Amino acid sequence: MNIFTIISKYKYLALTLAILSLLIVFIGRDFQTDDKNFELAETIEKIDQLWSNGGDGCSDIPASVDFKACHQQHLFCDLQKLTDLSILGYQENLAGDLTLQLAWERQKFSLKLLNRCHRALLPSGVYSSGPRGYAEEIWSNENQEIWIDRFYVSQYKIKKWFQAKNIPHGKLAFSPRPALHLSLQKMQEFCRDQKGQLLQSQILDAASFYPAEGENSLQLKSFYPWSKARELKKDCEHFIYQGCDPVADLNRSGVSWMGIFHTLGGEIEVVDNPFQPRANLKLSSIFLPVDSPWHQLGLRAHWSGRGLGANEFDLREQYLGRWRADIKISGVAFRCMYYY
Amino acid sequence: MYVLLLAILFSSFAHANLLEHIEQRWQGSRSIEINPRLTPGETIKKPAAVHLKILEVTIYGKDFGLIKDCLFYRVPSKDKSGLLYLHSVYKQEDCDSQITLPAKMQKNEIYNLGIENFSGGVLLQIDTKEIPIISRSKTPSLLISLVEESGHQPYVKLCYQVDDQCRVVQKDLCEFCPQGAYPVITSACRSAYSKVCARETCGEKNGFACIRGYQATQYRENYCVSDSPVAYCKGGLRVFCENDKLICK
Repeated sequence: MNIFTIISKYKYLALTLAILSLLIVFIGRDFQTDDKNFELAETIEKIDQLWSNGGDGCSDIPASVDFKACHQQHLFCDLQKLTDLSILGYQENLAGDLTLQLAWERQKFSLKLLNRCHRALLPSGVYSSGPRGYAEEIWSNENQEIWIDRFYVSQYKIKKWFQAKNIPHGKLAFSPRPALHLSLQKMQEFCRDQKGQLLQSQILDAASFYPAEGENSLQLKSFYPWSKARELKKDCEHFIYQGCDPVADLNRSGVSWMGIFHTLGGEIEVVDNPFQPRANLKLSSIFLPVDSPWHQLGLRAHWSGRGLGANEFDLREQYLGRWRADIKISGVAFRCMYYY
Repeated sequence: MYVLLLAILFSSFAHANLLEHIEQRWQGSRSIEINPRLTPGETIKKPAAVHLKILEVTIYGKDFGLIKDCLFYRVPSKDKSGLLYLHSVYKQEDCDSQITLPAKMQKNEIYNLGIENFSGGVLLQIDTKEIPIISRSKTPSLLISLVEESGHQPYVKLCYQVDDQCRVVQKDLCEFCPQGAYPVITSACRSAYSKVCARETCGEKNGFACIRGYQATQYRENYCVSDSPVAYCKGGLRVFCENDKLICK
């Protein structure tokens, strides 16, 4: 008897068996697919967490948690710990977004991790640009998402950017210290390539002044970022002034109410001021002693943006005209802001 | 007899194909749009025998360009059961151009098709099977591509645009701006601003004006006037309104 004879003889039984086995196969496949989809989703969530928060940091580069959270060597190390996941390839664009080609249990997929590192969102509100006593420029950011870098742009980031753009960068090190020697034009170009722009002065003000409510709150702005009180906290943890250790590896002094650092003290920082273009340099920094009048929010001097020669600076306070600094400036820091 | 066995085998594979295909492909989709003419929560039974667009699901291609998946349905009628089919669009085309065209991915023998909204996505109900489709629009810092094909990299200067009634005229494509985007005022809408791909900052000559804000100014009149109080320019330039847009000159 051959197979055809057997089937003819038991055709109804064969048909039933065939249908049953097909049902089992594709119901089984449904469950398998559901499980697989669920596990894949879980794996993707884990990767998202590692990218946003930094993993255990299984590398031997001695860097802070903040630094590790944004740099992919550490991500790769952590990814390798995830079972069944293999990295087939990766690319980084100018904006620091990382694209990974991955395989998980033979399924290939790609992830694009957008560089949202170290940014704080400016809450919606009405703000007043300039220091206390100056309230000529009121503005509001309803319906706008404005993100601000919490830290200065580091030499590390600039060196990577120069490499990606084939710009000679011999002197720069892969250091987490702030980048202090770019021209204003290069700073703006860097921030543009990060899909943002150089931090604007009124945005820095909005992020720094302690929020106040009630009448006159837009005129009676706070002096310092930590509270409404007129009390300068003279310790290096609150802000970095002359005599403190320099800003190293994303340290967290000078913090403001919305979580950005060095709103007071730290490095001399340039901003873009659309309301008062000359008022573009925050002097409160490690170069001034603790009792300098420049350690107050909103005060600005002027920098041409072109170089560090003495005649590129005008160190008279541009808003209130009350003070003039007498320091030699050896470097200017910066950070970026973004609308997404 | 053998034909019957073969038919069962064939239809089971065809069944597995479309639904498995979309279930995998649409994980982490960028956006989901239900045909506004459909009523979520109701089984789609009419008009009978007509081809309808059910969903437009935008996903990311391998290169993180955009791919539009268009799900169509031939509604069941007295003599024919329903047919679900899928077309994918890789360039700047509409789903509507693909309707009624034969598709590689399809599933027939459908008797009940329905859609439900739920938080985070859409639930597709196909006879006894339910497929949840979740969009990741809430976690915009992570993009997923589960396909091998490349998509379309659109560039639109005014990458997001709203009209006077705050309706979206241009869907948000600002993620494709090579140097980011910033908000600008191009209509009377007060609860949303348009966005333009950035090469310069706002407030420059012949560019868009910077936004001072309605809340800050408490301005209630027509926005589209010279020296409009809700905007400002840099360095001595003035705000003008040209073609409904606030610019600086």
